[in-house]
Amino acid sequence: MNEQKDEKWLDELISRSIDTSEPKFDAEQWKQKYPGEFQALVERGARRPRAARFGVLSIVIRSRIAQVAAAAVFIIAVGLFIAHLDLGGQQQGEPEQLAKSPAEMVTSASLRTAYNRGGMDALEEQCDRAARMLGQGLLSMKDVVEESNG
Amino acid sequence: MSVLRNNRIRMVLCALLLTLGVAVPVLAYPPDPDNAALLYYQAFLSCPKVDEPLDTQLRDFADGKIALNKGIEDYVESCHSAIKLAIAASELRECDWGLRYSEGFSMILSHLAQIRTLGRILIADARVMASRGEYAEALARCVTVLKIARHVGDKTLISTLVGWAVEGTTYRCIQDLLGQMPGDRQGGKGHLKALERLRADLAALSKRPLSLKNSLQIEREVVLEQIQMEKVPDLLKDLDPNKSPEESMKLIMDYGGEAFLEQCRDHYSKFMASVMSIIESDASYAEAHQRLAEAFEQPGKDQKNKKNEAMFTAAIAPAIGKIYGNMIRATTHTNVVRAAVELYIAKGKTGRLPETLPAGLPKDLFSGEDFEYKKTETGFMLKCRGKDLDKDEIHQYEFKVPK
Repeated sequence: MNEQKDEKWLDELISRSIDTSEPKFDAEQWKQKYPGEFQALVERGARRPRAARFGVLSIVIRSRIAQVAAAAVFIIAVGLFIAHLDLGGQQQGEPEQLAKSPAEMVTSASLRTAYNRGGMDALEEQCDRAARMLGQGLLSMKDVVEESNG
Repeated sequence: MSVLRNNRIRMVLCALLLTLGVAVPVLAYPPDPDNAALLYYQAFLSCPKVDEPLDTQLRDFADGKIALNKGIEDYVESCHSAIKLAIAASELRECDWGLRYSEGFSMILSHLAQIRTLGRILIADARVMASRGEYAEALARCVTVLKIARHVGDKTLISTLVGWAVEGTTYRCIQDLLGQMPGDRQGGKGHLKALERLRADLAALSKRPLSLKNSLQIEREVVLEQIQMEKVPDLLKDLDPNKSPEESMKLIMDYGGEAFLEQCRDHYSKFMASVMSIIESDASYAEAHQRLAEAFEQPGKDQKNKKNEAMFTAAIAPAIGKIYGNMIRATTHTNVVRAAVELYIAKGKTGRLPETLPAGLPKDLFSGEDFEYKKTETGFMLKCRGKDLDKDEIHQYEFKVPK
C-alpha cells in the first residue's frame, strides 16, 4: 500500500512538472497563427483538377491493353527485384573472393589464413583461384594459330 | 726452334693456349641462368592461356579423374616450351624466387599459385606419354615434378605446404603409371630399367626432403623482425585489418612500448623453440601430435592468464599440429610409393609379387613400423598401422599390377 501511495505522489509530481495530457489539434488557432501556410494549402487544392488526380488510373481501368501492359510492368519489376535479391545472396556468399586482387590472394598472410581456415584443400583452392585470376601466358592457342597463319 | 726445345717455354705456351681455348667460348655469349626460378618464371609466361572447360578438364586429367581427350592433348602439346624450361630449371641446384622476406606477412608468393599450374601441365604430359606407352619417359617427367617441388622450397611454411601438395599429386600419378605399366615379361621394353631408375631417383630425393624445421626457423626470424616498434602497426594491420595503426600503437605503448615488445619477442622465440624441439625429437607421431597440440594451446592460455606478452604468439603461431600432420602424411605417401616400387621391381625380376614385404623398406610414419602388405586380386595393398589423428583414419594405398 505504501508503495502505491508513493507512486501516486510521484505521478502527480511528474504531471505538474511536465504536460502529460494528450495533444489536441486546434484548426482555428493554427489558421490564425499560420495564415500564409493556410492560404498556400487552399490554393494548391484549387489548382489540381479532379481528372488529373485520377487520370492515369482511370485510363488503366478503362483500357484492356493498358491493363495488360500494367500487369507486364508489375511482373517485370517483381522479377528484377527477385533477381537483385539473388545476386545479393551470391555476393554475400563469397565476399572475400570478389574483394581480393590476385596479388592480395597470394600474400603470406592470405594463404596462411586460407590454410588455417580449411587446411591443405583451402590452401590449394586459393592458389588455383589466384592462378586463374593471374592468368597464364600472353597468347591463347587460338592467337598462336591465327598469328602463325598470318 | 731451339727456343721451343726449352721445356719451360713450351709449358708457358701450352698454358697460354689452354687459357685462350677456355676463355674464348665464355666470352662468346652470356651463360644460361644458374637460378632455376628465372627459368620457372619464363615457363609461367610461356604457358598458353587456357579457358574453360579445358582448364577444369586439364585439372581432372592430371588428377587421373578423366580420360585423355583431343583438347587436353593439343593444349599439353602447345605447352612444350614451358615444359622444356621447367625441365631445364628442375636440373639446376639453386632456386631463388626473389621473395621479399622483409615484408613479413605481406610478402607476395605468386609463384606458388603458378607452380601448381605448371606442375599440373607436367603431370598431364606424363599421363599423355603413358597413354602412348612411353612409361619410362612418363616416370621421368614425374621425377621432374618432384624436383620442382623441392625448388618450391622450404623457406616459408606456406611454400613447404604447397611443395607437399605438388608432391602428393605427383605420387598419385606415379601410382597410376605403375599400375598401367606392363613388366618386361608382359611385353614392356626396358620397364624394369625404368623402375630401377625411379627407385634411384626417389632415394636421392628423399635425402633432401622439404624441411619443416628449416621453414620454422625462417618463419621465426621473419616474425621476430616484424615485432619491432616501427613494423608493429603493419603487422597488427595484417592480423586485424579493422584496427588502425594509431589504435595499435596506443595499445603497445599502454603495455610498455619497446620493453613490452622485447617480452613479446622472447615469448614467441620460446614458443618456436619448444615446437622445433618436439619436431626434431624422437617422439612417436602420436606423442609429438599430443605435445604439439599442448604447445599450440599454451599462448592462448597465457593470454587468458593476463600475460599480455603472449598476444603476438597467440595471433601469429602457425597451426603447427595441422602442419606436422601434413608433413607425416606427405612423407608417408613418399615412403609408400618407394616401398611399392621395390615390390614392382621384385615382380619384374621374378614374375610374381613377393609373399611378404621385403625387409628394410621405408616405413609408415604414423606408426613408425613397416606398412602392412596384402596381395589383392588386382595387385597389392599397403596399409598404415597407425591412425592419422587429424583425419581420424588409417590410410591404405592400393596398387594395381597389370595382368
